[in-house]
Amino acid sequence: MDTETAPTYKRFRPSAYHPSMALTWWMKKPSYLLYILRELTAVFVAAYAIILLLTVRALSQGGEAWDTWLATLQRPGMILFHGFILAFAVYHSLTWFTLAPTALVVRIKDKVLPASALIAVHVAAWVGCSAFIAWVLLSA
Amino acid sequence: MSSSRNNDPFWWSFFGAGGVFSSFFIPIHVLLLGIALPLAWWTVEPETLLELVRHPLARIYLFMLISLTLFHAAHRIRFTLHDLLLAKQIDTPAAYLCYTGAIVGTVVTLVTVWTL
Amino acid sequence: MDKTIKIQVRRYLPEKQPDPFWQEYEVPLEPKWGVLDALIYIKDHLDGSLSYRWSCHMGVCGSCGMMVNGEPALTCATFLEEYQPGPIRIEPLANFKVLRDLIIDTDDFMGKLKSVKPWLITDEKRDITDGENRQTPAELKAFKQYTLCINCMLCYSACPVVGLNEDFVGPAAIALAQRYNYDNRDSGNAARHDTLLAHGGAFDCTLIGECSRACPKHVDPTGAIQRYKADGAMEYWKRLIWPKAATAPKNDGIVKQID
Repeated sequence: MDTETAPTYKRFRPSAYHPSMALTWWMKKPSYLLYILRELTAVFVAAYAIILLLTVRALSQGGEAWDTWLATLQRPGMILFHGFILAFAVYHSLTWFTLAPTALVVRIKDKVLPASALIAVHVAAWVGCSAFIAWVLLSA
Repeated sequence: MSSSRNNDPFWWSFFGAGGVFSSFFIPIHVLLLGIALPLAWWTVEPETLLELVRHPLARIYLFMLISLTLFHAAHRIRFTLHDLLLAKQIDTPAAYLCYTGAIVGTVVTLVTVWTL
Repeated sequence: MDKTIKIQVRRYLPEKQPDPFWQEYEVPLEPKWGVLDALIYIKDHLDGSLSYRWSCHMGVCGSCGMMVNGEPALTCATFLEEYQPGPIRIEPLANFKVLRDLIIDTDDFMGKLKSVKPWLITDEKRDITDGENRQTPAELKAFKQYTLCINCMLCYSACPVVGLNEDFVGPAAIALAQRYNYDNRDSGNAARHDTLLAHGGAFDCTLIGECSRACPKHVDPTGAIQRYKADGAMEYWKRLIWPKAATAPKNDGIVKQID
């Protein structure tokens, strides 16, 4: 990007070096690592979206297809994988709720709702949604 | 800075909507359908479950949840590839790959919930 | 000299040696000395060839930002005592081109800052007899936090996206764009949308949050960018669905003539 401060000016700027970022940049600070972990939740969350789709498909095909799919889900490796998915999905939820106040400004009359209250509302809604889905499934 | 059209706000909108949906609803499904059901902590007849997901509201819910979650993840994975590989030139192919995946997933989901 | 502390400085003297190198100095560990005081001591007593920027020595000019032990900091507000027993490693701000020793090239930042038009844009004609353009405390509060930016560029050093993507307009520029977007006297949002919605704009940010942690003035660029994304996405859809309803670009706010 050019500025009007004489981009060709060289007399006291014979050269410059531009340090580049290392491939391992995200290992240098705990906050960078947590950021990358947060972004990687997407892989697990997407994997679960596909598993959920396969579950619905197996249900619609019924009988044998469902039994085969349930047997797949019962493999120890698959249970372990779901454990990982659950951990990453919960991390995704918690980071999503804690970052929501950065974009969302809620005003009640003249007062801006503090971030902590906004996070609490999100967590409460999360518990409510989960309880509702659990009630629908378990009471079926 | 390039003046060419930037569609990132478009994808970001779906990323945001999918982030909200998936953060509220994915964990409980993983717990119930991915862990509790296979471990038989809870048992249900597949016919009962099928009846449940055939409800119009359940179909809409499942479609929204799966599709938006895929768009959310596609956007994040695209940027994470760029962050981890430090390769700007892969951003365009990565974007095509990720968003195409989400679109294909959406179509498959639509067909699946429609023909339940 | 009673107690001393070692200072390692990342040096770059292109006319003497093509590559940057480390040089170590030993300075008195005086109580209440900032890292900047140590650099001034080095220049005055040990090595006059050391180059660095500073001006106010009180955390408002934004000139003395450097990497102190790998973290961006204003060196006037970073104290030697906190780093005992040392050594303290001082480098030029990360993610910038380095011209000499601790001096970075600010041209890129200045260009980016200018691209978001951080000045008052209005079509309203006002006469001197109209008096001041008054604002209520609530109207001021809507943007006051963003006015506190001192252009020290610490947020650019803290932000990995700036380092990974040279086109990204960056945290401070977006916060300053928002400083005017949320000012009720300003009507230049449309002109700023053109930059912030484009490639390199706000949507290149992936919300790492380091800018707000690095900011010495608590401007919170993270919040500014996130709030912009929400407004910007709305504007994007408006322009896509019903272009006429979208905010029409006005003048660029550069005053051509003052009567």
